[in-house]
Amino acid sequence: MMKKLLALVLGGAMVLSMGVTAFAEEADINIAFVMHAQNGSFYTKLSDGAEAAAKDLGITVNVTAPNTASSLQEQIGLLETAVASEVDGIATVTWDPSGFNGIIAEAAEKGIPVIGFNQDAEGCGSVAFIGQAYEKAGYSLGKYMFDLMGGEAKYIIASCGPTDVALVAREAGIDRAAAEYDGVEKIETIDIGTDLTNAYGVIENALLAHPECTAVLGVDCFSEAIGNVIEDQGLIGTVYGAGFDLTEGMLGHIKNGSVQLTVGQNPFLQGYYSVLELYLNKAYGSDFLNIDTGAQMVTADNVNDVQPE
Amino acid sequence: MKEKRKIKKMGELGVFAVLVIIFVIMSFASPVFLKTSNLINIVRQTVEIGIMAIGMTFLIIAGELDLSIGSLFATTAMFGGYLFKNETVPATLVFFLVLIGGIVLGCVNGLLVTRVGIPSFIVTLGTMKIYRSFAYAIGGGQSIGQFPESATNSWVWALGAKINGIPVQIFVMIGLFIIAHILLKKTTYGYQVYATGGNARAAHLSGINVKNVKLIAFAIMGFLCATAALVSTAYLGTVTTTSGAGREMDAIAAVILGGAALSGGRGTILGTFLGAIIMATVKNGMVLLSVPVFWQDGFIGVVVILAVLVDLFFHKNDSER
Repeated sequence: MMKKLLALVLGGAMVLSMGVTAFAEEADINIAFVMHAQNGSFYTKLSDGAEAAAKDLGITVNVTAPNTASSLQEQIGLLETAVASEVDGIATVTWDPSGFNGIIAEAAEKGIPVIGFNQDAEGCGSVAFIGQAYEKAGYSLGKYMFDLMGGEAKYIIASCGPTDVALVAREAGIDRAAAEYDGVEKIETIDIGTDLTNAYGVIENALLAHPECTAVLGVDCFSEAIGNVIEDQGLIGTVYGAGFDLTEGMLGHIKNGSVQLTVGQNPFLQGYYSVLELYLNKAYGSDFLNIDTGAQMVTADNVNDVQPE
Repeated sequence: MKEKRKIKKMGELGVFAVLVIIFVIMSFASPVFLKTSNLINIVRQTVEIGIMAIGMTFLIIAGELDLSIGSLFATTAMFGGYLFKNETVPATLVFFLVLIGGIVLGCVNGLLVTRVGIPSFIVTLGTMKIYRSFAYAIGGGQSIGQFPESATNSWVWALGAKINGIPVQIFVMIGLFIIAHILLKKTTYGYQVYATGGNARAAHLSGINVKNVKLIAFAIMGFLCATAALVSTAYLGTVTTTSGAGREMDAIAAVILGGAALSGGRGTILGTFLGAIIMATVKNGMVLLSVPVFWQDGFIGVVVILAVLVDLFFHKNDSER
């Protein structure tokens, strides 16, 4: 009985595997696109860009991400699998200051270039970075908001990952802008996490604890929670809001006045250009270049001209 | 009767069959799967979950659960990272302090469960949050990395090194699995763990100190979380505040995949090892087969349920279940 069952199971497995093989066809150029999270429309835009590039170029791009957002251990595991698979190139988000150095060096030893997109740790070994100049973008956000508020503000920074390289840089940019105004004072940085419901509660609590707060400034794609709280609590005109990325919710908040500014960074292009550069290097030996995908300032004046990302 | 005993002896047959099926499918489906480097990767990616799942096996067999292990891992990792970074004490001492720290935090869980009488689910749900806060507080919300030479040149960093391309941490994990197997199957304490989980009242009446058995299991859990944290720190060269998040469910899934019963009294270290390998193999396979990222978690869930069904089939006549 036991032998028959095992034979049946193994036979079934063989038949199944034949079917699965059809999905694992070999391609001339194979690129691993390893994100750091997948829980939001922003990340979908990143992967959309990579997949569009794959389609346009006729190559294979395997998009993966950790099950737990910003899990270094899981992301390293995915990168190890990509290196073991001997892919032609890897695009990834090196959000930790030094955690990716080892795996990038290992990839380099095997001749696999690793390009950084969205976030890139200084000195991590990536061949180029496709993304926003984060500190500069944070500074632009700070300048716009503090000017708008007449140089008088008490602000809270809302960050979904207070240790992430890019978010730390954006926060530093905002703080640099704040230092230029005598009447601007930072209250604290709050960790809103990577879930909008949780973010809402954290921001709500922070505003309760600091009634003197006049601005909540986000540094990531979960900034739309700021607008939700300001709108729901009837704080429009009392508390200013701003943040990053062109999510549908954020654009809606700008339209109804609960948030004054959001800064786009074109995640689709970040995904697309990462794959494109790896392809060009593999196919034609072209050198890698850093590409700044910009800081698109979206306010009530131009919100109707932009598409959600 | 003889055949029934034989099946009992082959308690891990079901989970082993599942692993074989996955290997057969993957070896045909991906030309990369059977490459040595990929197989080493699968085992390497099993280490962190595998080490923590050993402790979870003791707890689940004893009829308890620990949801705080991801946070306990993060706290001990941040604690060690802080000491390594600031060169507060020699690296060898840091190593032992981290292990002691893990045992202490494990004992806190154990004491609240056994002495105060709060169910382990509730205690560890609470300490999951508390220990995560510790991790944030130790690092001031920041990652700790770029360690000084006093740490990176010490023997502790050998835990993250490779010998002829094989990560040392794999040997550490295998060693721990062997020790745990001996502890569970060949010692009085192991017998007491099974007896406690199988029927705590009967165990108590037969003279077993049930509370201490469980307390020791929680201490073992803490020790193993700290060990996994040290291995991870030495391997990655950095510690993040989000370390270990979500790992509690992976560890529980590995133990259940390995044939343990959540009701207690049943489970083996070998089964847990196979369960952890299955988890890592499926995750690896998803990537190699380019399964869309949104479906990967769901597929792992399906494998967990199927594996338990296969195990149930092999144990349908097993009165111990």
